Amino acid sequence: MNEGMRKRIDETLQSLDNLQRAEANAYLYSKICNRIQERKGLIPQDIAWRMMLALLTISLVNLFTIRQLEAKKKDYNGAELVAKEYAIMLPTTY
Amino acid sequence: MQETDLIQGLQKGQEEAFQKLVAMYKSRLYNTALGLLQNENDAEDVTQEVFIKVFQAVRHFKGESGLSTWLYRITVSHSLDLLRKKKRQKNGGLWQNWFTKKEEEWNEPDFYHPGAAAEQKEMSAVLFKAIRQLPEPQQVAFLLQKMENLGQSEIATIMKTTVGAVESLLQRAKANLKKILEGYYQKHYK
Repeated sequence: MNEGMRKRIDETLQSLDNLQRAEANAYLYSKICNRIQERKGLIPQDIAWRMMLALLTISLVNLFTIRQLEAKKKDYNGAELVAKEYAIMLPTTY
Repeated sequence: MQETDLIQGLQKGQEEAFQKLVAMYKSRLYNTALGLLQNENDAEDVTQEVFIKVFQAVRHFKGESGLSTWLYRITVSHSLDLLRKKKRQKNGGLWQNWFTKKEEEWNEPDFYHPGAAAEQKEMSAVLFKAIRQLPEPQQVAFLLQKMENLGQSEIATIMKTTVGAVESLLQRAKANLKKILEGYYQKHYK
């Protein structure tokens, strides 16, 4: 590495030494207040996700229960259902 | 207004205290976010988000660290989150990320910090691009020192690490920056 390049690298490394602080927008406070107001009516994202998950779980449980009930119904014919309801023994055919 | 009064006011939900907090810290936080993000719109967005987070979470602030340390910490964390998100979006996912060359960092648009002296604008733009290529902890330590003139112990508290670790991060950052700049000037400066 030649002297010129070394000097340039050192100068580049020092180029932030006298950096002035960048000023934030003068209306930042109003902007923040507006953002807070806009969000007041909204459900926070983490709560929204939890609600979605809960809804999905309830729907899946419902679906599973309905399918189970339908499968049970298919197992019995009409006479068997009445017999089961009133605890009657049906005659068996051989 | 003393810091403890300010915190108490914030915890009581006093608007005046919040206004004071924003006035006191807005430029410090904006400047920190600007150094990390190298984009004025993103830095302003992060600064707003930090103050909103503070507004919502100040009730849980126990004062274990100073208020400014807490604010810097949230700013750094929000800025890094946004930086990672933007990187992911730009690189199109993990697979492409692996094949992305470091060279591409040099093709990013130049960032001219508004506080840089006219004669140092070009060099500081090159330095900002080089800083972007450092590992995140080195970037954070280096920028907090250079842009906010923070001491090593304060940087250590913000980064939740030891002074020794910060010292080592700063040394490595400088060594890495020298290497990166050497490579850059060998190609671009004859």
